[in-house]
Amino acid sequence: MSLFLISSAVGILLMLLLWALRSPQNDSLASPPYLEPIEEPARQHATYFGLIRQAMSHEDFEFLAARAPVRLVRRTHQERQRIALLYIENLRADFQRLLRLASVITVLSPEIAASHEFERLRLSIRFSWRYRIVLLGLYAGHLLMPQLSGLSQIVAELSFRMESAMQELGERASVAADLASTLNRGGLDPA
Amino acid sequence: MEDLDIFTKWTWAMTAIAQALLLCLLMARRNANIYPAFTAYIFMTLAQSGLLFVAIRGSGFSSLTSYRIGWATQAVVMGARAFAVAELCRHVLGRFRGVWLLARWILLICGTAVLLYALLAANHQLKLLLSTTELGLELAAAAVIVTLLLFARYYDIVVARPVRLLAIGLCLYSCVSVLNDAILERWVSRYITLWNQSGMVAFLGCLLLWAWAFRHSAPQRAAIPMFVDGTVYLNTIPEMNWRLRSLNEQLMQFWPQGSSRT
Repeated sequence: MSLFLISSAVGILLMLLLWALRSPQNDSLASPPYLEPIEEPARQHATYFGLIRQAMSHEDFEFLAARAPVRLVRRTHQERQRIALLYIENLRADFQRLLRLASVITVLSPEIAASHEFERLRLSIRFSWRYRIVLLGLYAGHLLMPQLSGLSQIVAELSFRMESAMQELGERASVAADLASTLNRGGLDPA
Repeated sequence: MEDLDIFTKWTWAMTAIAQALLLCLLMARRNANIYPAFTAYIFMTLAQSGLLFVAIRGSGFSSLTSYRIGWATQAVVMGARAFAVAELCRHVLGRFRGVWLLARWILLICGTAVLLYALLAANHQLKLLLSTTELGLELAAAAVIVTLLLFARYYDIVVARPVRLLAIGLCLYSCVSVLNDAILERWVSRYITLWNQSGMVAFLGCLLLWAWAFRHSAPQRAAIPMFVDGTVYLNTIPEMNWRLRSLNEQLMQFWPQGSSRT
């Protein structure tokens, strides 16, 4: 029993070690450039929601379904699904960029609160989990456009808030960005 | 020395050479100034090898004297190792004041919790008290290093290559030691020779890895980050967390059945 418990603990530690050592470039969540949110805080995919909604119009689809051949309707449905998936993926990229900005602020802060940090960790784990569930839903054929609208609005609002935060950072943020860009090849380099 | 097999003797000799080589590298490349605890740890392992050599040559491998010297020096080496791990943590996160203040408590709690787990999970035999303690300490060291690297990853802090290799070596050696001690507890009489050999081979591998890591001089002075005002964090992060929470709730509406699962 003790050998099993100890071996399990070692196995878990080794798996975590491998995960922690994995290059951030291999992580699709971390693929966008590190300082992008600082340089272009307002460029969020949520702002394209109007166009997406137009492309996903339920009325248009019903109109098409009533008149067009089944093959065309099916293809349209597939295209709409593909667009929704792309949109959701880009929303996740926005979410990740904002999380990274929070990391930059945290790392450059002389004092941080454990409660805020645990809260953000919990939220990012939960988002990651829910994103996968939503992805499954979309693959199963659900488009759920009203909810997509709410989601986009929140991302856009968050983008606006972050822009304000970056203004507060002012010159210090630009100095920090210079420092980070010279120190890292994807993150902050301590040595 | 006659009661040691040829493989153990050769491994021992190669390990001593690798220890001396690494120590010379640390001194010559002036890395000893940057990693004093690690240098002290390597020095102590070399001194332990020398003392054990004298003891085994004088009174034999299975004698009580060799046993006592072996475990006494091992306790000192374990202490030095703990300092080396602490030094590693400071090198990775120490410059980021806020994160470091948070991380050191978490690392300490994590290490203590894993140590207790290991001591509770291990077999409690008096004759194996020392190896059980070693097992607990090694598992705690491995857990601390893994948590440290997870911290660095979460906050996008790039770990410099020598520090990374140092961490990998310390962690892997700890894991091998833990497994070794756990197997020793179960098959104590039949496993003792293999226990010695596998521990030595693992340590030799780590020494070579560290020698590779420290073949160049590390930068003498690390850049100190330009900290932002404390109010920026206090004003921005709670707001961000609130928005992220809202985003999570909205995301869940895509999949109505899923809301009951979380």
